[in-house]
Amino acid sequence: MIIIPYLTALTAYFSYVLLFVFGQLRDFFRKLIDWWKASNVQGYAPICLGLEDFYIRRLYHRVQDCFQRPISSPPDAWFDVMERVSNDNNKTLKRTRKVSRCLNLGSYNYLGFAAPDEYCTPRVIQSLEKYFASTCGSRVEGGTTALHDELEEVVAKFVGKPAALVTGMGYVTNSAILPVLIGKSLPKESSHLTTVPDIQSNPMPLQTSTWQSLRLYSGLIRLAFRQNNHQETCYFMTRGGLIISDSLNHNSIVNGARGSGATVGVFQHNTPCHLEKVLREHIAAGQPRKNRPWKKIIVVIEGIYSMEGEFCKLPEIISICKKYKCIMYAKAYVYMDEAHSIGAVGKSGRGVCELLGVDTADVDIMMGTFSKSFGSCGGYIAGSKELIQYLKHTCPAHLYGTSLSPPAAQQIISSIKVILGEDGSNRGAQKLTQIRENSNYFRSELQKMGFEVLGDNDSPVMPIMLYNPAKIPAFSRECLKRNVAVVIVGFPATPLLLSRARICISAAHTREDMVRALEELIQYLKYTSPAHLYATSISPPAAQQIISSIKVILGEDGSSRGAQKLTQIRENSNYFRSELQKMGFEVLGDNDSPVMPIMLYNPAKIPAFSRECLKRNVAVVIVGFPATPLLLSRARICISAAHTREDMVRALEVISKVGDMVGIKYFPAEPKKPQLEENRVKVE
Amino acid sequence: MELSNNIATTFMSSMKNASDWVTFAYDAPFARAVVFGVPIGGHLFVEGLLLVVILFLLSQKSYKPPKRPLTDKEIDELCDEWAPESLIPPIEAEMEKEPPVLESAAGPHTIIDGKDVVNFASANYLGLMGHEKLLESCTTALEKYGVGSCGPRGFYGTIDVHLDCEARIAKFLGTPDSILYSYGLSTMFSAIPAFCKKGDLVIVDEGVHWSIQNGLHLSKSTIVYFKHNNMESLRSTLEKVTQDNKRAKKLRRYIVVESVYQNSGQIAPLDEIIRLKEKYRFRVLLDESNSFGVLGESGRGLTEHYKVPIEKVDIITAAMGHALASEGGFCTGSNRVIDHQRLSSSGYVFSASLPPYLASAAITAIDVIDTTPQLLVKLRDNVKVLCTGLKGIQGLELASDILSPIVFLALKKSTGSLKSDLQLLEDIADRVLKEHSVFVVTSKRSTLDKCKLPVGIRLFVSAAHTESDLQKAYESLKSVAASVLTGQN
Ligand SMILES: Cc1ncc(COP(=O)(O)O)c(C=O)c1O
Ligand SMILES: Cc1ncc(COP(=O)(O)O)c(C=O)c1O
Repeated sequence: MIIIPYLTALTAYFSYVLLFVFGQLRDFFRKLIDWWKASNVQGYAPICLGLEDFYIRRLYHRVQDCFQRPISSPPDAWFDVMERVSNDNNKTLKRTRKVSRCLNLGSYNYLGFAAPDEYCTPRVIQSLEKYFASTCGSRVEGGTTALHDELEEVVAKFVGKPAALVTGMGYVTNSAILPVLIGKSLPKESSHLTTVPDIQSNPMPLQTSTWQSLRLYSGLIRLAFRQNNHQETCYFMTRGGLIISDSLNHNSIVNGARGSGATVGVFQHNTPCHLEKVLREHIAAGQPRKNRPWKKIIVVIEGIYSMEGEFCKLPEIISICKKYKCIMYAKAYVYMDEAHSIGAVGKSGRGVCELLGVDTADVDIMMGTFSKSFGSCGGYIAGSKELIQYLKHTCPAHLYGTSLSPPAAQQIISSIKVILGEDGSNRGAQKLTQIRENSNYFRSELQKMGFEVLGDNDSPVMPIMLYNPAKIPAFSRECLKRNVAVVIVGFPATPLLLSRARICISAAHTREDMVRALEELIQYLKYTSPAHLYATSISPPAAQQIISSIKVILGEDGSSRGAQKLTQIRENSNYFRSELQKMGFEVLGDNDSPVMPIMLYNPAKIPAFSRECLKRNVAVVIVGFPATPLLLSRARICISAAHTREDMVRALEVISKVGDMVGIKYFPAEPKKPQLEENRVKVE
Repeated sequence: MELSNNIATTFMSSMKNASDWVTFAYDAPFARAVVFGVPIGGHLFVEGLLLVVILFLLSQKSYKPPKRPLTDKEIDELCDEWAPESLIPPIEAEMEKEPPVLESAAGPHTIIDGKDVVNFASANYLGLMGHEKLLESCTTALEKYGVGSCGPRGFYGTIDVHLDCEARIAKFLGTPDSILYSYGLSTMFSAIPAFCKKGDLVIVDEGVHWSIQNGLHLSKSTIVYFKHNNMESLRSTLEKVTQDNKRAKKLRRYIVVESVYQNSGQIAPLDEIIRLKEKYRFRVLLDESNSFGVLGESGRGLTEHYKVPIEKVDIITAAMGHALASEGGFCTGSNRVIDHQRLSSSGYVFSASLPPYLASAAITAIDVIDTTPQLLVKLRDNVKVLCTGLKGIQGLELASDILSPIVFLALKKSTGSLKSDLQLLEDIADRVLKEHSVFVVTSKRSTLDKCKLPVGIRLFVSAAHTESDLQKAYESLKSVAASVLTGQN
């Protein structure tokens, strides 16, 4: 859950509105000019129109140089980014011969197999000579070589499932297999529609420009608030299957679910309790219209969410899916996409199941791709023998798609061998340790620097929140200037406000690389932070004070005062916090922390609390709207080591009294009735 | 009757009420308002009021008996009772059959079960598989770039060879620009939804392959099928959808066809299609997967074959896993068409880019086509030899075009069901492989495929097949068909 600071949201929205208004203005003038010129394509509706086109022309083109940056070397820890120039305000970009060597924080090269590898590459070239680069056929049409069979065995063993099916592309794996599992097999649509479809019923509001801008605007609002963006139902195709999908699932899953024609339910991103709620609601309601029970339910999740850097809460989700079972075997099936996690996490690289200690037997369908950790391409599905056999007979990706290129297959086999240490070295284990250490180091350093970093520990994917659209290209360009290549992600891929930069750590990064990258990021902060640019430096006495106080804290003054102070503040804080809580105040924060906000909520209570406390000789801080969200105004108490126990007892008395008076004891711990009544009488 | 009477009386009474209201309102002092200096008669006010009432009533949902929400306990019970089906239907015997496993490259000859067989199962049309130049460029690229690109095109997955390959394809075809996809199958089903949206009108041949079907399904456009490769049917369909419907003029309209149909081997008459398209003002999406590098004097595909200027076709897609002996796919067209896809095409945006060695193989393959046009002549001759040789085959008929590199043999007399037809054809293919060492395959259908064309045996002819390979193929097919299909009749 991301909580956006109030002001940030406001400024971000403001920026988008500005972009939108200016875009519309420019479009208006362009239309005037085009009107003079009289357009030449008569009778055709424009090929790209609406919001999408507007977005590309007026927003995307401004920041185009931050995307699709060409490189001229393998995407290893360091790579050559080719410089581009534009003569027409970023509308088109031309490659130049100039390159700049940059640190790569963008590629999904988790284990460092992207670059030529001493073990893999010779074997890959051997297989190229033996099987050539392509089979020119689908798996059932002369596209199955001995190499493909070997690969399927190796993959099944690696992920811990009885059998596996390998396809030529990860995206297609998702979008072709979900329909097979849950879609309707042969649709009853007649192939010759004798009646002309009702085109009248499709409104074409593209004529007048007011209509168009209205539509655009509503589209923008809809997109801005899209949460359940792929929630949709195609009743006519439903065969009684239900897909329950995480709200932030990858586009390939969304497309697969859409293509299946099954009903799609969406649960809040990575929230098991909401999944349970959605499951219960759907089971209780049954199929739409017919109200018959569902034939089967598939819950689709991802191992690591690539835009969030989070692991899925697999154990909780599994237990919920198991709970809704009956008669022996059946339950809601779990389909997990391990595109980013397979190879990258877990003790031996076997993905989130290994990391989170889940038995792979509990995940019915395991999917993943080879285009990330293994430095190859293609995707796999692993499951029971029967499942794979069935898919081999029905899945369009298997029947129609060109089979995986043999050298790519060999790369996967060899890299899995390296990961498992079957190449006779411990490089695999080293890589796995390295990526874990690298990720955790980098994440904690980023957090220390004050970035808002999403995601879990051990995950090599770290999104840094940017929010404001103006900061998106700025961050990317400034980093590139300092030879650090990062990925930035904006609106269509994330919700409107939650634009971010994303960093993917690799086992190929050395500690020096990372230190360097962090330094550059600090440079960036310095560059953009006004304090560093404009403020006068700290005054010498102040500096001395800091030095001396640190000495006291460390006991370098020759006394134990520092240690005493530290014990004192801890004890004080915990005492005060627990007393406040006992009294029924809503106190935020953790134990040991000396800062305790007491929630007030009501604006009238803000000055009341402060004044009444002051009257009783206790000074507290109150904080209201611009500094906190509108509703979450609070009083804040900061405890000091200099406070004595008596001070605190007195303060507590006062606060309790004022609290009763103002009415902010929102959580009366043990509602002792008589006492409560007494208080009320007193106040009256 | 009664109902309508009822309605009439209700209507009358409400009208009467309303007229009473009107007279009342005329007299009401507040009815004579002055807005911006213009005195407004009372009736305006009343009409406004009525309008509000009508709008209010319209906005109300029709009456529904209130539903009592289920209690938690009831939901619990329902959840307990719920018994899902197994994930997949039971495995049938024919699903256990595994395709033959090749023990060497899928060239014109390959090794299956330790035996050298003639391969008609790989779409290696120009025989570029194993070509020295391609091997060399792949090896160089593998040593320089490694295997995968580890990122989508947007996020540092764009390698210089991708841009070179896009430029090479555009230059070869004479189009302004082109865009690479990482997989042939995903090309069409990503490109179509990028252009066809809800409400658009798409006229499609009923024989298109699954990737196009899927793209159309994802696009949610209005889809109208016409009879397979039948221009009369296309014309009448176009006529119908445009004539009856004035609005159709303002929609985006597309005709989607394949140049050589994978499901039948027929060739689309592009000249006729272009004529129709211009008459009815449709755009054309053409899939050149099986004609790029095959048809036309110099292998530039169907447009060259029919001498149609390439600009007339709005969007062309093709897979590179056939004639180019590489993998992936591309789409080509005007700058606007290509640029639009770079942000809107899901298979391009959300998937890792094509491994660089495959892009460099594609570049080299196009160079080879450009410098050795003899390959095309050889391919055409081979197709002719095979088609003539197959004349008079027992129980089967040639369904494909005489120029198509896919030679498609369908049953003369269907057994009545797709499954048993396929079984019969599989038997033939199996025996041809076992007894004569010729590897041919049937056109298998996924359960998701909506194509209704008959299944058949598909032979992919290559320029690398020798005279004797072809002879072996048609002779063995003839002899096996004679024994299998007479037994059936
Ligand atoms: C979760 C997920 N699934 C599938 C894919 C697609 O895999 P591929 O790049 O191999 O097509 C991706 C790639 O970005 C992904 O993140
Ligand atoms: C997190 C945080 N950063 C910065 C500041 C500002 O620091 P100073 O008061 O030293 O200017 C505060 C003060 O409340 C703060 O809480």
